[in-house]
Amino acid sequence: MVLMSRQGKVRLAKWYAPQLQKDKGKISKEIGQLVLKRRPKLCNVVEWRDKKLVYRRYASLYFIAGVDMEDNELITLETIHLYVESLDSYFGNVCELDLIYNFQQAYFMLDELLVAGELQEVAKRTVCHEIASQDELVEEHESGLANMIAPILQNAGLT
Amino acid sequence: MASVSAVATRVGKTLAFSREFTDLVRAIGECKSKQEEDGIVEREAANLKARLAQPKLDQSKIKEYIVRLMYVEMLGHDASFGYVFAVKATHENNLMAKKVGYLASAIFLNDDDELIFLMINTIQNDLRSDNLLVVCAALDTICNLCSEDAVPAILPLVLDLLKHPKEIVRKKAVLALHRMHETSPYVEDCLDHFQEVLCDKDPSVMSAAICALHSLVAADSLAYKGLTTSFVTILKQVASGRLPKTFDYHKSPAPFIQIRILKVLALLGANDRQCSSLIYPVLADVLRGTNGSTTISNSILYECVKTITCIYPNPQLLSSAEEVTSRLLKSGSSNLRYVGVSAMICIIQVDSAFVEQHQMTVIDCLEDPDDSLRKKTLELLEKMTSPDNVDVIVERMLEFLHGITDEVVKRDIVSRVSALVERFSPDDSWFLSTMNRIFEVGGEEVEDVLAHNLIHLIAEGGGDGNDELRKIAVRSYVELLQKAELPAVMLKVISWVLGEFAVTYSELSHTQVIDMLCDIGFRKPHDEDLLCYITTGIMKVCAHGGPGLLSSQAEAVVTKIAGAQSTLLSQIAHELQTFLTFPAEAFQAICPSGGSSQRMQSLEFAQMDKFVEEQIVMGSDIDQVQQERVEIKQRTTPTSKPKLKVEAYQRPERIASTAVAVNQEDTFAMQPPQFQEQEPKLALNPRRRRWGQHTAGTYQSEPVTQQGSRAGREEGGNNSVEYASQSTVEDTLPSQRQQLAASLFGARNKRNTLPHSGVELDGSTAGVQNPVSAPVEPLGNLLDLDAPTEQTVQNPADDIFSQLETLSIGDPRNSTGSVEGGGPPYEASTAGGAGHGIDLLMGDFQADNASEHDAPTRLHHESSEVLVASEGNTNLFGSGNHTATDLFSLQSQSSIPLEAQKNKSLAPSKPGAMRPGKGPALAEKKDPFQDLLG
Repeated sequence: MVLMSRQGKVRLAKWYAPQLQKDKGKISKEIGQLVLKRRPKLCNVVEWRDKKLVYRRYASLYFIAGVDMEDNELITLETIHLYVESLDSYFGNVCELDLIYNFQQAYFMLDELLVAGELQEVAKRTVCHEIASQDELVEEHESGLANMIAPILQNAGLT
Repeated sequence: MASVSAVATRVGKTLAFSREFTDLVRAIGECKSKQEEDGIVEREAANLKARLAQPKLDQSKIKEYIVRLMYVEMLGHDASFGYVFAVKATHENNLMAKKVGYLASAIFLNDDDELIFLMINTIQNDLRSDNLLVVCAALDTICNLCSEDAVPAILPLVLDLLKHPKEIVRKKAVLALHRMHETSPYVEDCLDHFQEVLCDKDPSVMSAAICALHSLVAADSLAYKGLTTSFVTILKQVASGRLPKTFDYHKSPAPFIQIRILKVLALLGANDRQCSSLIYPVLADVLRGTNGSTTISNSILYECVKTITCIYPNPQLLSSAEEVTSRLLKSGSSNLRYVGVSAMICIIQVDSAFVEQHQMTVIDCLEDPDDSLRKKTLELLEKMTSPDNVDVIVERMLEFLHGITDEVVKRDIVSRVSALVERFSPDDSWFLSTMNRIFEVGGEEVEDVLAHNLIHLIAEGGGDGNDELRKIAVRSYVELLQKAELPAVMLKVISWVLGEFAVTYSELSHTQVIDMLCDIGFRKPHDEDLLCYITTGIMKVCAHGGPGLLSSQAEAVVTKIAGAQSTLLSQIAHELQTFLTFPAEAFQAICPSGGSSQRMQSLEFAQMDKFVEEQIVMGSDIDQVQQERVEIKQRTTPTSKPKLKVEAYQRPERIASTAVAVNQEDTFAMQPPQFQEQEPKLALNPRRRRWGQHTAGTYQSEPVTQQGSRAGREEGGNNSVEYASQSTVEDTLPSQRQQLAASLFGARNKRNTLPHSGVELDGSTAGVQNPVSAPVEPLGNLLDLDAPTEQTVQNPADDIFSQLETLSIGDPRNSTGSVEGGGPPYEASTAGGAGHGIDLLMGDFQADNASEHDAPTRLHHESSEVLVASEGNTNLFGSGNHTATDLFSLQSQSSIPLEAQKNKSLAPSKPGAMRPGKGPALAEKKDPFQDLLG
C-alpha cells in the first residue's frame, strides 16, 4: 500500500510482504511512474509484475494498493475508500497536509483497518473509536497534552 | 504555502513535535528537485544519527526522533542505524512512545530480523497488561512482525486472549493466531479455536475468524467441507441485513464479510456437487439482494459470478451470472467493464457459448484506449482460442505487442502468443512466419526455447517430409537480413538456418552464404553466443563445399574471432581454420555429396562411417543450440559464479572439437590406439555413479556430464546414428506442439519411458530374457499410449540397446538395478547442486536423451557418451588447447564404464538388425500422431 502525491512523492508506504530497502525504493518509483501517467477515466487497475495495482485518486493524493491477480478489484477500491473515509472522519475533512504531519496517526489507522494485508475492521466507526480512545489514553498519561488533543477528539466525535 | 505553515503549526503543536520536524517536512515539501530532497534527508539522517548516539537521550524526544527516522526511511534513505532505538522505544512505559516504537519496528524490520528477539519479552509483558490499548498494540505487532522462533513464547498468551471480554482484543487475537499459524508449523490445531470464534457474538470477531478460515480452506478445502453450512448460514444472515448498522457500507450490509464468505464458498464448492447444492440458494439470495447501483454492490455481484463459475455449475445461477456480466460489460465505467471482462473470462471456462452474444462488446474493449482493459480482453481471447480463430487472435496480440514498452508485460505476452501459436498452428509455414514475427516484435524478450523449437521444426523440414519449409525458411531469412534491426535470438536462428540449409535450398553460392554470415557478425560484434553460431555456420558451409570458399573478408573475420577473448569462440574459430587446411580429398571423403543430412540418408550402409561424421558435424550444431539454452539457464541460476560462464561456453567447444576430432581420426585412421588406452578402465563402472553423487552441490558436475552426454549422443549413435537421430526429431516434434502448453519436459519424459517397457516385455532379440519387471508406467499421457507400443516392436534401435544391455553387463538384474540406483541420485544431485535452472535443464536433458533411448539404456548411453568426451579431450591435448576444465573433466571421466566401446565394436556386427527395420518403423511411428493431429 503506497500513498503517493501527484508529483510522485511517497507520503505513506506500508509493506505487507518483506522487501529489501533498495527494492522498496525501486518499486515505489516504478509504481509511481506506472500509475501517475494514466489519464483519468481509464480504469483504476493496472497489472504490474505478478500483481494488480488498484489505485484511486483523492484530490492530489493517489492511494495505490498492490493486490494478487485473483483478488476482487472493486473491493480493493472500496477498501481504499473506506480508509479515506476513516481518515476523513478522524481528521475532519482530511487533506494531504494532515497526512504529512500526522503520518504516524495515518499508520495507526491503517493498522486498525488492515492487518497483514487483510481487511480486519469493517466498521469505520470502530476504527475511529479506537484511535480516539488511544488519544484519550495518551491524554491521561500526558495530561499536559490534553488541551492540544481536544480539537482532534472533537473532530472525531463529530462524525 | 501560507496554509502549509498554518496547518503545520497547528498539527506540530498538537503532537508536540519540535520546530525542527516541521521545518524538515516543510523543507522537503518545498524541494524542487530530487537531489535537493536527497540532500535534506541525508543531512537529517546524519543529524538524527548524532542525536541518537548521545549517551543522555532525552526520553521525551525519542518518540519524535523515531517518527523522523520513519520519515527518512520512507523517502528511501537508509535509517538502519536507528532500528534498535525503535525497538528500545517499545520498552517504554509511555503508551504513545510504545506505540510509535511498535509501529516503527513493524515498518523497519522484516520477519527474520534479529532485533525481533529483543522485542519478544516486551510483547509478552504487554500481552499480560491490563491496559486494553497496550494489549492491542502488542497483538498488532504480532500480526505485523511474526518470526517463527517467537511463536512458542507468545502462543499461550494469545490463546488466552481469545477469551478476553473485550471484542477488539478477541478479534486481534484471532488475527494474531492466524498470522502465527501462517508463519509457523508449531501452531497446528487452531481449527477448533477458529471454529469457536466463528460463533462469536461480535461480528467483527467473526469476520476475523472467516478471514483466518479462508486461508485454511485455501490450503486444504477437503478438510473443511463440514463448515459449508455454517458459512452459508452466516452469509444468509449477513445478506439479509441482520448485522448492526455500523457494518453497512454504502447501504450494503457488511459487504466485506459477504465477499470473504463468497470466496470461501467458491473454494469449498469447487468440483463438489453435493457441497455446491448447499450453496445455490444463498447465492441466489445474494444476487437478488444486491442491486448493482454502487461500486460496492457491483463488487459483490462480481464475486458472486466468480463463485458461481468456480462451484459445480448450476444452469439457473449461470444464466443470472451471465446477466450480471452483460450488465457490467455494458456499463459506462471502465472499471466495471474491466471487471466485466474478467467475469467473462471466468464464465467462458464453464460456458463457452456465452461470449458469442457479446462479440461486439469484446471488440470494443479491444479497441479501448486503456491498456489494462485491452490486456484483459486479450486474456479473454486467449481463453477462447481454437484452431479456427488462432490466426486472428495471434494477429491481435502481435498488434498489442507492438505498443508495449514494459519488459515484463512484453515477455508475458510473447510467451502467451507463442504458446497459442505452437498449440493451434494450422500449418508449418504459418508457424514459421508467425514465429519470425514474434521474434521481430518481441525482441530480446523471446525465450531461447522458442528459438530452439523453431530450429527443430526447420531441421525436420515440415511434417510432410518435403523440403518446402526449408526453402521458405531460407528465403524468408535472407529477406529478413535486409532489415537493419534484428534481435539477437532471431539472428541466431538465422545464422543456424543459413549455415545449415542456405547452400542447398537457395541459389546462393557457398561464398555468398559465408559472407552473409560474416555480415551478421558485424551487427552484434560483442555477442559471443551469436558469434559461435556464425562460426559453426561457416564451418558447416565449408564442410559442404570444401576448402577455399572463404573470401578474404570472411577470412579476416574468422581470424579476428580466433583472437577473441572468449576461449570457446577462439577455439571454434581455430578449429575452423584447421579444418580449412585439410586437403580437398579429405573433404571429399567426409562429405561426398555435399548435401544435407537428409540426403545423406540415402547412402548405402557401407558409407555409414562417413555419414556418421557428417552427422556429427551437423549434430554438434543442433546440440549447440540446446547448450546455448542451457547456458542461459545456468547463467540465471543463483548459484552460478562468474567463472561458470567460461565453463558453460566450453561445452559446445568440446563438442565441436569432438566433431573435428572424429573427423581427423577417421580420416587419418588414428582410432584404435585411443580405445586401447581406455580399455583397462572398464572395470571401474560403479565409480562413475559415485562421482555423480559426490559432486552433488558442486556445479561443475553438471556441465561436464551434460557435455559428455551431448557429445556421446553422436558417438553412441555411431551404431545407429542414421536411425536414432532421425527418429528423435520426428518423434518429438508433433508432440511438442501438442503439449507445449503443459510442461514440456515432464510429458516427453513419460512418453519416452514407454518404449522401454515394451522392449523388456518383448524380451530382447539377443535371446536373454530380462528378469527385471518393467518399470511402472507413469500415469498416462493418453495421447501417447498407442503410439509407442507400435513403435517399440519395430524399433530396431531399441533392440540393439537391449542387446547391448545384456552384453555389456553380465547380470541383467544388476544392470537394471544400477540404473535405477544411479538415476535418482543423479537427478537429485543436480537439482540440489544448481537449483531451479538446472532442474529444468535436467528434465530437458533427459527428455532429449530419453527420446532416443529408453531409460535403462540411458546409463550405458551416458557412459559411452563420456568416453567420447574424453576422446575429444585427448585430442585437445594434442592440439595444446585444453584448459583446466578439460583436465577436470578428463579426470572425472577417466573412471568410466566403457560399454561404449562394446557399443562401437558391436555396431558393425549388427547392421542388418538396424537397417531393414528402419523404413516401416518410421512410417508406423508417424501415423498415430497424424491421426491425433488431424
